[in-house]
Amino acid sequence: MEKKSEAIETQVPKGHLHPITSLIREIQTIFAELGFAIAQGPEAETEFYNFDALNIPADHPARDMQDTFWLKTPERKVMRTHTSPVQVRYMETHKPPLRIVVPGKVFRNEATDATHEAQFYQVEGLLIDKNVSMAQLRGTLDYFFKRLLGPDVTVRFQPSYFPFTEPSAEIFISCFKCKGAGCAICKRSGWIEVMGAGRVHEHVLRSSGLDPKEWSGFAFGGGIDRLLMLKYGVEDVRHFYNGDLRIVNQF
Amino acid sequence: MKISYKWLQTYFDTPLPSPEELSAAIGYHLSEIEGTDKVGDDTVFDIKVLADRNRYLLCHEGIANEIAAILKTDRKPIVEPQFTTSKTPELKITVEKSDLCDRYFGRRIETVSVGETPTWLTERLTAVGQRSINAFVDAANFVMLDMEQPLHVFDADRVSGNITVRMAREGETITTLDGKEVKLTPAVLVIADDAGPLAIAGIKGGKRAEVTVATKRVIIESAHFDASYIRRTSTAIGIRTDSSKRFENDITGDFARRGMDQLTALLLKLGGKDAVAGEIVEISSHTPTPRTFSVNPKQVADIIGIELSEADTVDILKRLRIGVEKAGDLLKLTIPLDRGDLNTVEDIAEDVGRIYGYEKIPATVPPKLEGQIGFPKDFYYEEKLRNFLIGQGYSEIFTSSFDQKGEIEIANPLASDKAFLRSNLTENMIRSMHMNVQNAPVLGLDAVRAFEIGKVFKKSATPTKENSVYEYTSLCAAVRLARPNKKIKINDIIRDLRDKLVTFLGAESGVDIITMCTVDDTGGLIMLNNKQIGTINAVDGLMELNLSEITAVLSEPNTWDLPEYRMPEVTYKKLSQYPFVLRDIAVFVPAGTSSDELLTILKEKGGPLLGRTELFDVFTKKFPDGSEKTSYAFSMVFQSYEKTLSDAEVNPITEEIAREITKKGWTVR
Repeated sequence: MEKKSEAIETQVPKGHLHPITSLIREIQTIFAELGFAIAQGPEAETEFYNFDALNIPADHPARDMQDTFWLKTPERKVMRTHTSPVQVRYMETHKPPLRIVVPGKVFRNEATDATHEAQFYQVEGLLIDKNVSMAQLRGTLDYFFKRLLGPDVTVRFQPSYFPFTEPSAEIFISCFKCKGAGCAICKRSGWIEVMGAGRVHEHVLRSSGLDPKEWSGFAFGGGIDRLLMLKYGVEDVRHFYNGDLRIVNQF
Repeated sequence: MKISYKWLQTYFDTPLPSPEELSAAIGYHLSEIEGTDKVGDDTVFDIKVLADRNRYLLCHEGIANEIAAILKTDRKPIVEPQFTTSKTPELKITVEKSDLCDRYFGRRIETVSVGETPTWLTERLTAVGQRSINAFVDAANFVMLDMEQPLHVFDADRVSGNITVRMAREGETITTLDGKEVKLTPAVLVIADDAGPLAIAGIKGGKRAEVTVATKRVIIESAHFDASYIRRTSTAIGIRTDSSKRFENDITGDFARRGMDQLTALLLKLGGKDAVAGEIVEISSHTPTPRTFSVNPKQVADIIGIELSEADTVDILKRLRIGVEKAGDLLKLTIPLDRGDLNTVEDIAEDVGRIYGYEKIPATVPPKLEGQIGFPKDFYYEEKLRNFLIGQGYSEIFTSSFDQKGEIEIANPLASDKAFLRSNLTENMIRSMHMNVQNAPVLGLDAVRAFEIGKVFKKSATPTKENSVYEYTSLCAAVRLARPNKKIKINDIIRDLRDKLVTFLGAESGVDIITMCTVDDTGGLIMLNNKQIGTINAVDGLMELNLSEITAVLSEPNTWDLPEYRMPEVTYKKLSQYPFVLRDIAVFVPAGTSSDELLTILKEKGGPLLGRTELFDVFTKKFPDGSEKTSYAFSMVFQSYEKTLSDAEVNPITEEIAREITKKGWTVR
């Protein structure tokens, strides 16, 4: 006589969260410790919120910085090229002081390869208060990256330009893999570029109905996919978007 | 922007630091260096000039000015070129569109005779990747790369009559220097003579008055064009040049004056002993004057978040060529003409901050904020649902927002099968399930379960002038069996999931969603308050519903009650691009033997090509001789990272496993 064993009658195993969801959760957890709330906005965005309100007027070279998908709609919508439009939407509807992080999908009209996807996830941060400084921006990002990647990680600024921040900075973190010795991840430089950031441009504050004389702020934004690829050594960004459980179930 | 180390050195009496040190200083204080190349005995930096600094840094002098500020060293004083002018035939210039061309300088140079371009000049140009064409063109390019101003040289013998800066006429065409015929429209500004267009203003020269080594008489143009006009036009006609790039970045009109003199002096040097320069002809409707504004040095330091004395601030400003005058608590600044990017106290703070050193800015965590942290209701319930679905065995997938069909079309899609925004998640889910079922042995799953929560896009049922798109969050969940099993119906599994989901959301939100959310079983429709919000098992084992409609009726959560989250510590294994080979093995072992003992043999003898193993069947049987034996059946996945495996590679491995098992006295069934 044969008896069935439990091997094929086990319970359904637990499913897996997508790694992007996991990282968004961790980002939310860390920023909540600093008082940042979650905010969201639409993926199909108006020209006003995606460009004009962010100090990127038509006929300005800065519009070239982001290759845009345009929709065939009468109102000329775009697929948002960044999560920054949510800054303006949030400031329009909430009274400062305020602190938000905005995780979300963004779109760039560029050919895809192992390191470029036409759609990917970004996280945006915004803090509005009185007398906000670049030092506070550095302090916030330093806190975040230390909590995310380890206490040895340090944050470095490099001069940069974004139409919606002034002063602007490119954010580098010390390489968490080689601790600065130089490896493939940091291209032997000891530093990894992870975000763009700066003090919120007064044009953005005014577009959102705030008085730049009274309020100031900082904002930052970076790719979630890229952080995941760095942290876990995922070799191809497209792995995240093809519905392949061989990827998801590893996390 | 390619910048030559040797060229930079011409701006300094003292030797510059080594290329490595210089490169690091530029990286920290100005902008990223994308590459460094050795060219002969020179070093060439590829500097990624920031968009708002293109107006003054697409040239060696601009970078030299920055280096002087960064290194606290003096550059050589500016010496205006000295030369004498003579009487030359009259040069008549008319500017019809002073709004698009607010400065135009022209000058004749007569009885020129250029030979080969001197070595020092070709060396400079080739170092930064420019081809030497002839001495006239090389000289104009040199001055542009040296001090930013785009210049043009016409062969005066090929120009008929007077120069007019005007809009092109309907039907006019021009053959550009590279031999392309361009149809002009009245929206395009041209430099014309009495016979027609000579150049597309600020963008590209024409073939007709092209200079050659044989040219004896030239007209030099040094002008200033409206930045947004140039950008619009060069985009419209599809011609981008070194010239248009500089003009569209709003360089100062002052460069036009300086550029004219620099090129004149250089052509007199290269043009032989008989060369004579005529008087300058200037048509200006606007003469640039330095702007002034005042800043509070305390505010400058506060924006950066550093302690910086007024004296130190003034020192940095002066190194940046900014004039400073004390006016009470304020500093009255006079901005250099080429620095149109400096307009506000924030702009000043950025420049003071980066020269002071961004790396010296302290890290200060902002003070705590009073009150509770808010969160969007949608986000909250989506997170709850994710946890619920994972508990039910469903894994989360993300898929493309583009599809080959849909309701909202993309004007400039990447490909024809990505020409629409997705209007559902079902299509991508079907594709994903198909792939994942094929990979089920690698995944080690009897049934593949997956879900996606994501935005989909439809035409709005109530379009307005501002918005014709209905964007909402959809939820799709599906299950497929890895191996056929008559006893399990996937449609039942999905129905069970839907019931649990509705119950779960009802319990979470305290809203009686069970009554509101019903199913029309005949049509497989999911209804909310008698309105269809989704389908179930329209495709076997799959449901999709409008999550935004559901969250809208749920109650507002009071507090964030989801646990703090840390990412799993896992070691990611790269995927093999090659197909796997699946082999099953069933073995009788004496009852009481653990399956681990068998597994050890499989792993040891399976070697590096053996991936996942799965125990999929176990039973124990009494034999007629009274012995009791247990059968363990394992599936084994073989896969290589280097190639597609064949039987010739897998069979010897499985044979070796079988031999080892026989040695143990066990029986391979």
